[in-house]
Amino acid sequence: MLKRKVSDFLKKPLITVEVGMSLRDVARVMRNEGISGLLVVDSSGKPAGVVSDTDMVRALSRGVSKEAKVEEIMSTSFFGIDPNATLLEAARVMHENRVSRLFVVKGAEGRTELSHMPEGIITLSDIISATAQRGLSFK
Amino acid sequence: MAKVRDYMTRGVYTVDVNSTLSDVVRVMAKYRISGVAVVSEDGDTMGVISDTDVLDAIIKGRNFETTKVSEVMMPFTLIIEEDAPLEEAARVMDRERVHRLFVVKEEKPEKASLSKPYLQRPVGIITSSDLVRYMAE
Repeated sequence: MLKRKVSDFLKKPLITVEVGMSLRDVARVMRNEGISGLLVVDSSGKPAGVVSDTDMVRALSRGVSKEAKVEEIMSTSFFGIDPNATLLEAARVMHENRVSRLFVVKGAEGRTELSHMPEGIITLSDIISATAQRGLSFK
Repeated sequence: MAKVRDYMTRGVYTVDVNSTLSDVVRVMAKYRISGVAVVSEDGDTMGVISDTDVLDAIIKGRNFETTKVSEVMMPFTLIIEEDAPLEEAARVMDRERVHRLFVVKEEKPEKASLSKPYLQRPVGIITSSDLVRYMAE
């Protein structure tokens, strides 16, 4: 099952928020879409960062206001994976970098410069679902 | 001030300590959850297994049909009292790098957030998505 390609599982369309949005509005998008990570884009639509539930928890723990802007807490590193990579390869990249989501970008593996829009996102829960579908041939 | 009790989920998904990894991933996928409490036959909480523990098992090439959950779980749970403020839950999650805490009724036998075996049955769970829900208000 994990030999299958990332492109068979990636989520489209990619849900994004814009630089300048408040943490409250970002939290609403996460809640309404039922997701834990979002791509942050600038006003011209170019990728600027990533914000996740982990960033929101840290903000709350440090008393950051809900009115603060997303760019104050987002991470500017991206981790990517090629659409033709297998789910097992995606699992390895997540494991090595201790992340739960990867942006799907041609040629990417690991830390990635995002100069254009990713095709989608693949998450650890996609890998868990694929694993649950059948017994496991990882090799 | 918002408290854990206002945002937690009552009840906890559990798997038996003798379950296999296969059983665990099926529970996670079926209920769309990323972590499950591991309980003994007597119902005592023995630990927790999360999607990152499963990822670790995948990378190590574990056989999911034969590996027992007890071999890969975190053999302790992180707890918080239901009367604690949400900010306290956020601090514990941030410090311990976890996405869920089990909620207990009262402080016993030690302060919440202890990282040692804890046999009291949790009354529920609070997760990072519950904290996001609070941030959205």
